[in-house]
Amino acid sequence: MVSGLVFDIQRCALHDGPGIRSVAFLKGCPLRCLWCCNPESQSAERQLFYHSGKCLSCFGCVGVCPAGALRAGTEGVEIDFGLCVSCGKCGKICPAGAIGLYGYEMTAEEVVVEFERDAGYYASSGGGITLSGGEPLMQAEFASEILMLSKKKGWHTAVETCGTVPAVSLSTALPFADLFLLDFKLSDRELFKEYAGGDYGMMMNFLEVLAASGKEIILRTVFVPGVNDTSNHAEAVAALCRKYPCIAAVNVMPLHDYGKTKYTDIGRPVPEIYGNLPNEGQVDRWLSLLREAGIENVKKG
Amino acid sequence: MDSNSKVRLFSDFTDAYLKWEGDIAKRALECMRIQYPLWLEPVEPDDLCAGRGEFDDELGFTPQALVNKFCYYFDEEKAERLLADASLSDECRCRFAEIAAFWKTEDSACKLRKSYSSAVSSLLPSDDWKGEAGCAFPLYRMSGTQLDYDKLLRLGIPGLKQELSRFADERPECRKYYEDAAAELDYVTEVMRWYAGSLRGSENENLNTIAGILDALCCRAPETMREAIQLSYLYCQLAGSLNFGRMDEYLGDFLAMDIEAGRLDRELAINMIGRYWKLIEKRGRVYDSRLTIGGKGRRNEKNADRFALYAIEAIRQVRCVAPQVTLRFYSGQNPELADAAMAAIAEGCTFPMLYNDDVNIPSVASAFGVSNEEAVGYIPFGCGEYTLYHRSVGTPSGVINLMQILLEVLKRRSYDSYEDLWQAYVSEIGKYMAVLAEQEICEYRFAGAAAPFHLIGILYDDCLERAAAVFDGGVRHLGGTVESYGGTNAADSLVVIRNFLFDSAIMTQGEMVRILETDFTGNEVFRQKCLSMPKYGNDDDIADDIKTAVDRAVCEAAIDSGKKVGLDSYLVVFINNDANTVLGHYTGASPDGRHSGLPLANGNAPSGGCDRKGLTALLNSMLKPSTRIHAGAVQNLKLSGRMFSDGCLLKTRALLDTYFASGGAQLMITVVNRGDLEDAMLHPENYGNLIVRVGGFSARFIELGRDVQEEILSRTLY
Repeated sequence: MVSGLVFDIQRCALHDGPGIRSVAFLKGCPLRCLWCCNPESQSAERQLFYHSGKCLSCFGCVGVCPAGALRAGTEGVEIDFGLCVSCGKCGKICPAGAIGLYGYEMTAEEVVVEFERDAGYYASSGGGITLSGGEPLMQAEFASEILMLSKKKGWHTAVETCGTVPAVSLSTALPFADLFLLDFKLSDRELFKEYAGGDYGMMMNFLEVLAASGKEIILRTVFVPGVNDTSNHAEAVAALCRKYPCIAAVNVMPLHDYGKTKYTDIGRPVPEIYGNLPNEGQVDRWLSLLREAGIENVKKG
Repeated sequence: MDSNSKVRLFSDFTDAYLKWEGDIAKRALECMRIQYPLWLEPVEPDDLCAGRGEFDDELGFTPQALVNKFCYYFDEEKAERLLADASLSDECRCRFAEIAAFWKTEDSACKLRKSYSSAVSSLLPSDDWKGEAGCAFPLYRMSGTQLDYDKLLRLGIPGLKQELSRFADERPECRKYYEDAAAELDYVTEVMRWYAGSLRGSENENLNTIAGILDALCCRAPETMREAIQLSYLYCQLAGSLNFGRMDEYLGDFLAMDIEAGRLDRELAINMIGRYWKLIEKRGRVYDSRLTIGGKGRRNEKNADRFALYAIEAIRQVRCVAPQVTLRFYSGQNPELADAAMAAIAEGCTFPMLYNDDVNIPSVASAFGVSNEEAVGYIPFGCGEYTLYHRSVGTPSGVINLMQILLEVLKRRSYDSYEDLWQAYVSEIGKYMAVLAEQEICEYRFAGAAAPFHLIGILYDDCLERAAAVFDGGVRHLGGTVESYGGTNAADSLVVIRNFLFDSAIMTQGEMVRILETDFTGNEVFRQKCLSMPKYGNDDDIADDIKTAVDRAVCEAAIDSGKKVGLDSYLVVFINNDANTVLGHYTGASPDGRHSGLPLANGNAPSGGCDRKGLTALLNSMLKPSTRIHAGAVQNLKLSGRMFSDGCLLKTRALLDTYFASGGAQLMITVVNRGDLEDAMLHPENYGNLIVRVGGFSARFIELGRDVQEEILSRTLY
């Protein structure tokens, strides 16, 4: 029985592939994008969170922590995240859900049982299931098993990926995935390294293998003003679309800061880049630029 | 009418009541003939037709007054104000003091209470459900009649009179019954002539037109849609009915004829319907004023569909909070109706409400114990209670608070097991349900003995054939309903009770009761634990199973109790008006984590904010309780405007289609954005047209009390 680490399952997702979908978010990501909206997804391990707003200051968690990571403070619990051993005892005792661990183990079957609850909605809407993350293909065997079981049920399957994993990780999932939502963030090798911490060559190789399979691809391009709103990047996206006809569409994902409290919750500073969010006019200009570069099927995602 | 004239009218009313004590038909007729100049209002220059009016006076006769009163009703509070009116002459003041003293004990609700058995009196000690805590309360009204307007418009008043003559000739032994009924039709004619006389010769062309229509309707059946609207509206008012039946069926042919003859085109017709909506809205009966369009069983589907489409377009143009337009639909129905409905909803209209025939017809057949053929005539009234169109009555004459009952059970004694507690709870529900059913039949018997209500019986199947008054053996299906509140909170509380007191045994029952009695003071940690337990609305089988069991227990208790007292059906309705908020005021803290005094959950919905697993999870939960054992469960859904944007619309349609195909009986959708609601609380002046569905009725958000506004805000917005 294959199992893996999941940090969320969202139902009735309307923006992660066609139709009505359920999305499983798998933990672990090889990238460290400066704008990441799911910082809790990055570590491949369970990790501590603390929502200070929910804390009742009962300090039950302090007493059960075996690692001395928690202390009773004047305004809630004071935490040394570095000492946490991810035992999860604090989450079990907390009455308010204020403290606990991101990430829980599930078998592929258990994930599919959860998906099954909305199977009727997939059928009527042309929807299905999506694996997201993190990078779902970091847990390639687990992801492939979920996809295979889902295909057995006859559901449409999608994988949201950053493409920065070895092609071999793709190969196990490939036969059971109908659609890939490929995050294409930057088209410059150095900038990709600088802003996302990734290996551009590995991603391009991934895309090459993926495109060769003929599977449908939607490019998801995060729009970060001052970072990737260049004509060079627009041209590069357009060139990919010309080169790979299986790229069916380009979705522009404007930078947002909805995930900023999650940084604080896991003991990390809020990204400085959130100080420069795009306005609607900027997004429209970027969309125009992409269209001018020759991309026909582009829209705000 | 000035206060002195009013007193003289009440004096005549009281004299007639006493004079005709031995003849209930004559008594009712004479009282109606005396009171109509008081309660019927003059026609406004831009009204579509005559007949505005409301029973909100100190004294009157009607099946259902505006206050919790019926038949011969007397409003003491209003009477006290009238008695203190400085403009009253000494003579009138003295006379009215006599009248008030008489009616204080002669008021029908008061007399009804005196007729209660000791069991009913002891378990239903008060009817002040808006001002006191309690497990169950009686409601006094003969509401929810849905008249056969098709027959009215086909025959007109003269044709109905001819029908009564024929019956009288065929059954001379029942001649008095038919003559009394005919006399009530003469009363309708009298009112039409009175109105026409007041309008004839007016400088206003519209008022003159109405006078001409009223004159014509005294002599013949209606021939145009406007005439048909006038007759059906005025008749509905005079009969004391508050709902408008299957309007697309009975107006559809008139619309088609008007268009055929060139009297109306699409725009003129929609404008006329919109004016009708405004007239209905002005009466202010937002809990009633229900009309139905669409669905199986209409004899003229094509013409009816055209009316239905225009009716929806009129909703979009007029944006009113009444009438409560209800769209019935079935697989195979003209898809234009559903498309138009969705477009209206997407624009922020709260109507039409959506009712799924494919589910409701077999459900109603099962719940009412009738054939599918008969169930095709199901029709919601008021806040969503089902009846059979002009074949059944099912007035909601009781309120039960399932959360309050659970709290009392929890406090009464200690329990050895969850099963022990559950049985005690079910038994207690049964005890209250038994007296509510008894109260219901008492109320019907009282109404049947008080007056014949011939205007209702003439347009109800079987009454004329049986020569029996509607509430005295005339109606084919004498049903009843009971409004049930707090079921979701009770179910969520039972999840906590089962776990904390029995499965995990982390506390004693006494400890839990003490914490609840102090409204969790100093025990916020415990309250959070309560809140963290599984809740109905998340597709969580633990919570949903208990909700289903609570629903079943209360529904079966009602069905059993109805059988015992001899009702053809006695069914629970999980409707809502604002009673969830009002009853919540007097309901103590509950084990689901709800603070004392806060609203109970709305209709069949989860407790506010407790549904956190997404829209599909919510819909799946709502699909679990059976639809075949009650007379309607309100399913409210607040969706954001985003759900109806170009990118999402098809997905939203698929979502709703799947819900209905999976057994969803109904939905009342409000499209709104949270920001709108929050801003409306701060700046009501900017949101006059913001309409939000609160349970079974619709109202302008800014007109709601702050607690109701907060309750709406607390519900999850998808």
